[in-house]
Amino acid sequence: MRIPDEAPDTARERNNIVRRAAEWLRAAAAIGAAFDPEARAVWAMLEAAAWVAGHLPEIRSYLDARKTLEELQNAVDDRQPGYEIHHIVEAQYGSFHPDSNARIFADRLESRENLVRIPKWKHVEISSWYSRLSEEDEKKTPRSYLRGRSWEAQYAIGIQALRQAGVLK
Amino acid sequence: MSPFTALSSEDLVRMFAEIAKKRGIAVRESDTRRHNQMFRRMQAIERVLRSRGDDVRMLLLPLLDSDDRFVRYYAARYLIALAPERSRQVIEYVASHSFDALALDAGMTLYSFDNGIFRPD
Repeated sequence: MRIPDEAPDTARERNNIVRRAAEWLRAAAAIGAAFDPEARAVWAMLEAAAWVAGHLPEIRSYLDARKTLEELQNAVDDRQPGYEIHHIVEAQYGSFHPDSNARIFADRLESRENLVRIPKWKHVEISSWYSRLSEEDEKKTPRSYLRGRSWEAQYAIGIQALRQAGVLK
Repeated sequence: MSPFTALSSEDLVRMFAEIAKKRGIAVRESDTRRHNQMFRRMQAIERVLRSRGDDVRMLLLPLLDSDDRFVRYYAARYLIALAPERSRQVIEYVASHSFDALALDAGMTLYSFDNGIFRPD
């Protein structure tokens, strides 16, 4: 793994480097190699590159161990760099669809049960998953599949996504 | 008519593998637009393979042993009805041994499959 001294020109390039580093370190931690010389060398490269400094919190948060739902919910009141607030049932505030969650579940979306604080890149991974077409139904994304379904059905999927993303115990 | 119908089945399998790599990278980079483009191409190839019968669809089977985990994973998704045990093993491995966005994708595939949301044929 190589971390360039100079910041790449585009956000996409910068994010890709930061994410690959975070994934590499997560894999190293999973096999008990978090403190091996190679992992230390990656950290040293990251800390030496000035442009990475602002990304270090999101790299560190990516290495978090799984937490209980209560821990993730309680953390919402403690906003920290490297983390984002995630809606377990998607909010869809930008949607004009008549069945968007923002219209149907307006009174529940910001409730304590629906908000968790999770690592920034895990938030991106989960949000992207909702937008991807898949073999389950070639014309629907998970988001369009869930549109108009009950709160409970959407909550169950949201919980599962947190689990599969390695965020929730 | 699909532009893929003129290609041999072997060429389609090779193309499937190339697209699988690009689709996997798009997942990893959270590039949804690129992912969905690759997905549509993969679907188009699969439709042609399917129209040629199950024996031809099974030409994807060796991809389950590819060196590339993206290729293994997408081949498994498309073969889960024809080679369920082996395909499931591949998807389970990706779900539990990946440390990026593909783990979530694989885990949700298994969840959909086990809960009757994903009914491959």
